[in-house]
Amino acid sequence: MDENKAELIDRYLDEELSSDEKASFEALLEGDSDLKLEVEAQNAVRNMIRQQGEKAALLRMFEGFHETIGEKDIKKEDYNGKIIPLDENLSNNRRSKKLFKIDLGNWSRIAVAASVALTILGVWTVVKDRNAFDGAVEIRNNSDDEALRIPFLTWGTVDGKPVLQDRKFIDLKITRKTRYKFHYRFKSFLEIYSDSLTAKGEKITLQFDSDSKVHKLWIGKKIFIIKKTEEIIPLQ
Amino acid sequence: MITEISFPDSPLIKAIKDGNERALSLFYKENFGKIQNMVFKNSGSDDDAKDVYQESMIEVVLQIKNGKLDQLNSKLSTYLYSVCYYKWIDRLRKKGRAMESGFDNDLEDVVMVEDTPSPYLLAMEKVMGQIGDKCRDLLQAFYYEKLPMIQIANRLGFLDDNSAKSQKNKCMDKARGLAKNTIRQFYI
Repeated sequence: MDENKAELIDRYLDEELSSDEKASFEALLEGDSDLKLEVEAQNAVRNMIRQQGEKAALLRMFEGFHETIGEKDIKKEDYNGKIIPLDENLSNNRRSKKLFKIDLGNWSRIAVAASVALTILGVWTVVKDRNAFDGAVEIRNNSDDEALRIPFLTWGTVDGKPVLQDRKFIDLKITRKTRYKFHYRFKSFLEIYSDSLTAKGEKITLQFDSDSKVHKLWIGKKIFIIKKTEEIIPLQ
Repeated sequence: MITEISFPDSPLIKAIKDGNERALSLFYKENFGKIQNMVFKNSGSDDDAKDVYQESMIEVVLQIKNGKLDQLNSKLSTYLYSVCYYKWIDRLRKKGRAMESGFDNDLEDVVMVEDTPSPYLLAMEKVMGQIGDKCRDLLQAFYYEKLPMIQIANRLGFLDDNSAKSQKNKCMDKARGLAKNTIRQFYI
């Protein structure tokens, strides 16, 4: 076999051998079980390479799609002004760096650090502040309502000590309505209704205790036990 | 009597099968939010959501291309959701955790196409891991992208097409040798 073995096997598999070459190659195959195995092995490698190539190509394509999620093609149905975490870039952020800074006195400015982009439908607008550090995104809307993303921590007890089991984020909408003094609704995202939530610098965090299965909402240093609810009920 | 069999998403499936990138793009973007929610609700992070989504999407697209979903009798989005759902359950199980949101009733009607890789395929994947990234890129450029040798040489930094070609053959020799052992192990 003068020709390179890999190339010869390729030509055989691609049916590119002339009829003479094919006949002599098949005669070789007849008497050589090792060569037979080599052909089989090369065929398997080619198939695997192509399969992996196709997967890699799809993945590259998906990365492109992912970057433009939320830019357009947003379906508005069944969202009803709900805040949708369309932030495909979140995965690129180091979550540990994310801070939620609330400029209070008036709930109209919320800087979400580390380029946490929330895409919001309806009256919400997202303003990218180029001067803000770390690509912070400020969220405003036309009324007094606010939307932000808050830490959602899951705690459990291991060997008598509380251990952080999971750290993610949940969307929070704060609605200023006089008919609700201090209420909430907790579905896949959290809504707080308050006309008086103005304390300065209060950090809002949601915690889930995986032992007692209780959700605790921290507003500043105050803790409120909340539960999943479809209705708007008082925070207490 | 006429029995009606409906394949609600056959136009979409056909478009994806034909390589319509716009259709695939729309389908991709429309469904991420829902999967992200499901993963969020079940102790997953953003990275988890994207990972499980893209992996499932690859699986579904390859099934479409292989004609396995030609007769899908549910919505393609529901099907995708269930692939993601089961994949995510698998991952949680591996981490020793359970789904919090319980079983999703919508999934009961979805007939899944079995896609468990055979041990032989897994062994072959391992072979590909053993030949090194450079060889893998070279073989992919040649066998999958079917690029001419000179272009491969430019892209991967070989002196000329001849040295790219001889390296390609060496890589194939190496992979074939490893694959031979794998086949022996499974079939002989």
